Amino acid sequence: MRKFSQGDTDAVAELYTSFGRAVFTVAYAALGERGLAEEAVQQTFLQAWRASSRFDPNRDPGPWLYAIARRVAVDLYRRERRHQSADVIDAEVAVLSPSFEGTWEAWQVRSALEELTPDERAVMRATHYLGLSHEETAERLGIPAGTVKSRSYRAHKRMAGLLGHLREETA
Amino acid sequence: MNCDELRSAVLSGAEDELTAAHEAGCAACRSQVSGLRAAAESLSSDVVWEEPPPELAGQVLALIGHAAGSSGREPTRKAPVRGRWLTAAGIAASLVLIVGLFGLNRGPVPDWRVDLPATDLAPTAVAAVQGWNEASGTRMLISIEGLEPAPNGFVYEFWLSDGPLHISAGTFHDGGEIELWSGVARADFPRLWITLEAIDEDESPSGHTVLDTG
Repeated sequence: MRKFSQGDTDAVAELYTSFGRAVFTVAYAALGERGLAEEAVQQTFLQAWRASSRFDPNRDPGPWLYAIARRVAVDLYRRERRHQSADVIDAEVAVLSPSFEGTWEAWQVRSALEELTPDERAVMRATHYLGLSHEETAERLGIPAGTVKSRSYRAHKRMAGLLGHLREETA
Repeated sequence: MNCDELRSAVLSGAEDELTAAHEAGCAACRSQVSGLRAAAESLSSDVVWEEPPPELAGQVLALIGHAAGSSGREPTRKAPVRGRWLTAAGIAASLVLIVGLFGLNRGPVPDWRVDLPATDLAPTAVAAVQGWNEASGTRMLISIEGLEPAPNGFVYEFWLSDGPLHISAGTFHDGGEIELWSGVARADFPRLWITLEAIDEDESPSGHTVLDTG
């Protein structure tokens, strides 16, 4: 983090590699628009850089970055609401979209996905997002169905371990 | 069935009588299953699978690198309503001219002159714009000093704006005297501003404003 606060290119790249997708997920979940989400990612890392001298390098930067990302998304959301209608009064702007309620969960799930191997992640995407069966996933990925099952088992076990605390922290 | 197997089953959506029986008798698992069910639901939505564009990493790097090289303070934010940016109109109406290329047929006295105040992203920059109102648009001569050359992969872009409507008048790499042309009338576009733009397919203003009449 010390190098990051100095604007060191490698340190910025490293932090982006570790958390860029999760930050994007939070922004996209909250704002629902890719362009705004990209802007939020830029602002999040810029604000993190500006505040990095005050960050304890012994702490996990994940929750800190999440908090910045969510705050940036809130600011962008309110800015967009104001621009969408000149008649929107401040009280209405202050009310956040329900999409903000699931941002911590989205951060956690995306972060857990990043912990998987690319092969495991591909199986998770095929089965959960695309809704494919193990056999269909095997055909799509060009691997035996038994391999799909074993990767799926390992991936779910690992993600379940990483996400077991989710309810306790969101409650 | 043990706790690990139950949690995996919940996350994979494979709950059955066995998982229900384990959950009923295990307080530790009962405290976790609601979160895992919510996570399983998230896994089927596009939110967690949507990928940021590959060029975003470079844009973040450049933004921080640029801020580190200047004041380090937050830049002006991106233009608010991309959807209203008239790409086609901007392309059709704007044309970059190199100084002398057209041999401007302008009078010695410009029709208007305005200073371009610098933002925190370019605190040392000093700039002014002189303009000549023509029947077919506006000719402008921008004088800029103290502006660092745009980083690799980036250019500066000059905009004329009326609220959310932004018309590009062209791009350039560093300061000096730059002559630009726009097919719109200055009177209709009161705001003049310059942004730092990545060289990519996104034609809307980046919001990384370096000079701005506001």
